[in-house]
Amino acid sequence: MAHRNQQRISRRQLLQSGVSAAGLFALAPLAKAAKMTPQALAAAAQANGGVLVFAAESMGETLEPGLWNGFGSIHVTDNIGEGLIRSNFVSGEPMPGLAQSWTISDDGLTYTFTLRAGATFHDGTPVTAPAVVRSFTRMTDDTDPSYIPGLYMASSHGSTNFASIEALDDTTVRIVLNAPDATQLHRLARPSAMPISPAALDAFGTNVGTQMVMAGPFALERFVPGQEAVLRAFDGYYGGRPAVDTLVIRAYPDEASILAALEAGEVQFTLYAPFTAVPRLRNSDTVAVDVGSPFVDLFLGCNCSLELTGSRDIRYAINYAINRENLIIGALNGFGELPSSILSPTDLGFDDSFRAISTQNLELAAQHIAASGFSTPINIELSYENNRFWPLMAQLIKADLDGVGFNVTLDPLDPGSFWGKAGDGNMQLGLNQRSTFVPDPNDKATILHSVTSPGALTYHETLASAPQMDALIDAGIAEQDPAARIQIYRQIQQLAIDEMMYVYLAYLTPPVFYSRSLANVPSDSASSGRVNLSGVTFA
Amino acid sequence: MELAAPLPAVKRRRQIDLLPILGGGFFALVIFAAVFAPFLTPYDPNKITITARFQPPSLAHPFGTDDFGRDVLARVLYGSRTILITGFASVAGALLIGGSVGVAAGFAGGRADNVLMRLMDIMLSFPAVLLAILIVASLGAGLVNAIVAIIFSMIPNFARIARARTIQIMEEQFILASRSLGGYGIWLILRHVLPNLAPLMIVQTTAMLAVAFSLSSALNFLGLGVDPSIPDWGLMVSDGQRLIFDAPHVGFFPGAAITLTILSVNFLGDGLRDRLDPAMRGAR
Repeated sequence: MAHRNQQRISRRQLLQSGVSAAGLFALAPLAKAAKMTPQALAAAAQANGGVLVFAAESMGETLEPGLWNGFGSIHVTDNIGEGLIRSNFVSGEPMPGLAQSWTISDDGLTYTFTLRAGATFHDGTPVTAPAVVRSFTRMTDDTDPSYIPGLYMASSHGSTNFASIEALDDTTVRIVLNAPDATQLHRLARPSAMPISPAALDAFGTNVGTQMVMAGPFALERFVPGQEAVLRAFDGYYGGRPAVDTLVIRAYPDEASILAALEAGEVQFTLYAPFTAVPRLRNSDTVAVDVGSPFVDLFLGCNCSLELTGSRDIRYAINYAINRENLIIGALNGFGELPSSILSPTDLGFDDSFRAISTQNLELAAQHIAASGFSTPINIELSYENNRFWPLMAQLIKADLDGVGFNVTLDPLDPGSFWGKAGDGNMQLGLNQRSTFVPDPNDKATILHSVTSPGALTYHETLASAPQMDALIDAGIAEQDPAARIQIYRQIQQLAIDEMMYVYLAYLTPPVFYSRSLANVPSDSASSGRVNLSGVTFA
Repeated sequence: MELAAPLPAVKRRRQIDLLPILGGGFFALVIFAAVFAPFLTPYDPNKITITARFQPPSLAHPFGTDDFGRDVLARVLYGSRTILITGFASVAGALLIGGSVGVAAGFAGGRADNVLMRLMDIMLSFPAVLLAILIVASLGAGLVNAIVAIIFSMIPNFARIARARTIQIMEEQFILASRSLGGYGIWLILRHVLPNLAPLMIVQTTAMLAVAFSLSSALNFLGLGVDPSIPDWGLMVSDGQRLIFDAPHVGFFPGAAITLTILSVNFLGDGLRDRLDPAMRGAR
């Protein structure tokens, strides 16, 4: 019996062993990193054929462009795909993509595109007009073998406004709209509008999302759902083969892992390292940081269909209670600008004069609470995705709102649960953002439309002013004259401020992190979330 | 014939094991900090001072400040309340429910024993953290739901030990004697089973307290526990994770607090086991 006791491992021994093993385990990567300097790792990457690793915050289970699968999947699609049009985020102009030219009829309804000669999909199939047309119609044609019900992203490239789309010959595509749309060209630069090889659609059917074949600068070599995509430079790309041989877009579990991988040289490009690292990285010999343009709106959506947040006074009280300077410093580490409206400073028609309303004014907040008729403390729930800067932002907002008479309960959720709860209509306040996917004011303003964007966070279709807002947005789309559009978008911003269904928090100016071994990094467009790395080279 | 000289008497010196004393001492400090936190720091743990963010440890702020300029020491002190409340409430609940199930199964035997213990086996087949996450995910985040989740994940541990010891006790001679004198049912359990079960359950309680602290921290780290504005060590480690290279003090001190508290409870449990567990008597 005594012998058995001697042989038995005590809990103390087990703990000691565990601590030792954990220590060794923690030290192993450090030892490995110490053996290979970042420069050596970058050099090794070049020697291995120019492998560029892009760290993403997530990777979807599919690359199906008719669905929203998160930013990781969008980054893949932006590098393997090519639309008829490309958007220039600096000039705001539509540029030729697979279509080398186009004409628009005087009534703004008929778009005729001439395809680029010699362009092919990654499987060698020529990019022809019938192939392009099928890529559009497959999302709504239930007889197509690749059709999946509910490919809702089709509406973002304007499919609901298509009266017809047809191939006039092998190189000419004609789209006829039901109503004029000044933003239609930019819509065709969206990932959902990037043509897919018809041979792939036939071969893979509804599984094409995991074996995507497009016509962009990189070809999909391997896709591991939820983890990473390995892309190979496409020799047949019409714009010339990318300088980088292999592009790996890999999801990392958290910001700290991304930062560690970036500093170790394992990752050469990312948008998702923690902002807090920027001051230190500015002095780094191996990592560079560029500050992006204010393309991203951060806001607090107020559910207008609920009794409490349906009160305009309550929405205004929330607006005046929030200290945006604190949000920008405390949650965004200075990477933000004070907001003005739903439009970004880079958008056509942006009106700077609303910034004053987005300034903390505790006296006005108290007046609006008193006018609302609700007695304090007012219980209210603030929901948000439990990642990135959202938890910090939520805590700061809670402190501000609690200070003026609210009693805020924080509700951190995973992204799926967040949108599930928003869809149920029970979310009172929800934190979210709107990125500039194409450089046109409608890209942001469209979320105010009660028919094309109902529900979501604000349920603004319940507002009496919804028809007026819809009419303005429709007019903004239909109007072809830029000067007239500017006036319309100013009215849209004014009405959105009057209703305050979205409380604007900040314009995010996200930093873009990359290895100093890279050159020609597209920092401006990358800060919008649209990242095309085909022009990047190893310096 | 020469007799061998007698061997010198070996003095059996009672060894004093320092680890349980150190463990108990540190754990007492944690409880002291939780109770007297307002007197141990001049700072409000939730006071936001954006201009004082990310200050390194100093005399004014011995553990530094976080993203919002909040004093990390104050948050560590107040954060001990959350982990202690969650841990003690969870263990008490699991002891009550699991212990009752185990005693009932051991006492009743037969089919009831079989059904109850297979149910416990099913619960045990899920890793504790996973079971707790599943429960919180279905009930929703929050302190009470986190406690409920931890209770459920620990019930089988108490039930199995209580059952095994109850069966042993029920075979003892004094139980036979008591029965022959008319002892029955609840009276037997209260008079004989529970007093004899208590030492083992005390040992198990300390062991599971460490598990409860660990689970509580894990749930809060994942954002499935208390409201994020409430100071909590797991949440603070979660916040500090992304700052590990730039402001390591934000996550280090709450992380150290979790580690030391769990270790201290384990060492204390070891000492109690040595004293109270019948199986360990004379083993050391």
